[in-house]
Amino acid sequence: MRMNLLKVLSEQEIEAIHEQSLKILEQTGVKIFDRDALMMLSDNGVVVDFDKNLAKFPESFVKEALKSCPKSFTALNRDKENGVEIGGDAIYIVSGFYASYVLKDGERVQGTVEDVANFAKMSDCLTNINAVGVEVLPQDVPAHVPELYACNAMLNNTRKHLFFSPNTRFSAQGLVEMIKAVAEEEDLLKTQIATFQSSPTSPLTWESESMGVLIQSAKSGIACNVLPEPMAGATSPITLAAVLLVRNAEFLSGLVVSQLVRKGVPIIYGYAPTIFDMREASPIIASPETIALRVAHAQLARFYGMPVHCIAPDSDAQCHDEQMAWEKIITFFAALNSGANILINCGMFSTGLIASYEQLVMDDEIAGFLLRVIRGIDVNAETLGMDLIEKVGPRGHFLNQMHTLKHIRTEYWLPELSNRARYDNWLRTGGKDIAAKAKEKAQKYLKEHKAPELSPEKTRRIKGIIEKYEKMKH
Amino acid sequence: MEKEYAIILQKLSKAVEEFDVERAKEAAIEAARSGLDPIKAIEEGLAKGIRIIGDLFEKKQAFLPELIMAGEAMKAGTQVLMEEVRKRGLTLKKLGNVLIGTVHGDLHDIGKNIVISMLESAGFDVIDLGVDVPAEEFIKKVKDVRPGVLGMSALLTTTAPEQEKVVKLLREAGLRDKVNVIIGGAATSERWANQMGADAYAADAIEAVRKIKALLGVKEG
Repeated sequence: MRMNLLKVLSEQEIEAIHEQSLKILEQTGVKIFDRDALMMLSDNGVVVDFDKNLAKFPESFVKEALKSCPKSFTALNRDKENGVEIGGDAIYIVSGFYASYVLKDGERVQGTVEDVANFAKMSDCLTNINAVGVEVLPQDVPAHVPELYACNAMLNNTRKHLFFSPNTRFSAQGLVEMIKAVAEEEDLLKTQIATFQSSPTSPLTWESESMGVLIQSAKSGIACNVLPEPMAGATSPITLAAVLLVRNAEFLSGLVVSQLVRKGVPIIYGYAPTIFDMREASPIIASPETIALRVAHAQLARFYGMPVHCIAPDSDAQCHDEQMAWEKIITFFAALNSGANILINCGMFSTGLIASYEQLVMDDEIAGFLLRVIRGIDVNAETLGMDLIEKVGPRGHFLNQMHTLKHIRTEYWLPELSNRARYDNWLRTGGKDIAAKAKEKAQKYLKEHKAPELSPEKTRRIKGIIEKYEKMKH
Repeated sequence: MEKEYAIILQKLSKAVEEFDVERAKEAAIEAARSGLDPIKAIEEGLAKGIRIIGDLFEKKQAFLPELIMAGEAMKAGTQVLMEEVRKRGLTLKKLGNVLIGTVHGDLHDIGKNIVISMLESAGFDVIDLGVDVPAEEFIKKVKDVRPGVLGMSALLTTTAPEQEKVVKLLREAGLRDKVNVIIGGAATSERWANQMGADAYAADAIEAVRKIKALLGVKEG
């Protein structure tokens, strides 16, 4: 059987977090700095104080929204193929997301459109990466349209599903136009070739632009990952239960808005577990507390029966060292084996600020390793091999049995990167450490993989949209 | 006729590449009946299959059990063809003879057996002394058989010194320069081989075949 899902919350504890979240929404309320959203909420019967930009949500709204939000949705690629049902037991591993820098020759440098293209191209050939995010926000293009350039680079370098976290409603609008042009659909509800993400500002606030992105995605039918990230002790109370509580209340407020804009639009129960290190005065995403939070988060998502996102694999380390390795593995394992459907951040470290090509290759390797771990052990007549044990008998060996050959490729994970060579052989092949090997592999992928470019017709359309938005004053 | 022979050679090779003992036997019988030179059938048919799997194994694209089972298919086909070789009064020129065993105090033999299987597939005559072989027994056999190569396996660190003892006894018996010594097994290394006076060390079966060929001056391929 598959490895049991991890748990850190009891049923009563989950209930308590849910109940208290409803109370916060009804009594404390959420600030929303968006006139249109407040108007819409008010029109629908939510209690709105326009002077304070404050909305208070009666419980019935949350119940309705939970009912109308789908339990799963189908993620497709740009060619409307390779559909994967996101929800339930599905695992969908996504490359990294909005780093500020790229590690090159040991130094962090600003990301470029070429980097976005290269990361997409590499993700396209890594077998455990299912979808592609904007790995690094490009800095070599006009500042109001970096995501449109990134989108173009991704569309031309991968045939995997795409993920965006639009920084502004303007950017969201441009992306929606590009996605519609590629999908050749006016309504994207049934044709999810890309997923959006939007975050409230903790505690209990939606800034205008984030709310704009959420509304934009709901209107166009695009699935949206609603991702609160309260920082323990800074933007939420310091206790972990309260972090979950604030996160949940913020999420539910976003869920209600989305379902009022458009009933049935897919919303993902998203989370970036973050604590605030009080010595360094900085956010941290791979501490042990965030591991427990990842597990608790997935439990809450299952309670609501929603598709669940969690950031992973993550690290707060600043270079490819042992800290990076243990943080990557434990964050990834916690997210995978707590039941998260969508896991985003492959290729990133430095608390999400830096991406590197070698890290993306290493994260793909770790993914393969962990997917095998959680698959568990099948026990049946064939796998018990009773007849075989009888046949070979004591003092024999199993290296020359068909049974061995039959299961060799399916029962075992085969590393692409990890060293398994004996010392002598390892030395003979260069005696390299894993990051050096990963870097070579990354370069090989980039050199050899042929980018799956868009058709000339779609390329022309996309180019037109980018030019249009570039000319617009933002 | 040539075309028919080519097809049979292909069948022999394929049966080995696909680890199929039965098909290797069938193809060998077909080869014998067809009038094809049995030596050619072994060298350009069965052995070709082994070389293909061996190359894949070195490139990490084939697994050890595949290598072993290809060897077994080769052996099954060779047995059939050797009868034909004898019937025709031919002799299959062997690449050399290798005397091999696991040293005294050590009962491990899977690795050694894999080496034997690979050596036989490659065209060597192998005399297997088994496991827990006393040093004196190695010396006696070297005297009797006069092998081109003596191979010794040791898996335990406690038994590796036995290999050194055999080399010492060979020297005392004036046999050291008459036989090449190669060692292997988990307890051994290149460094240990140099230190205790062997001619070569091999980390795995494929390397053992390559190094033994080199020791005997056999050309690759």
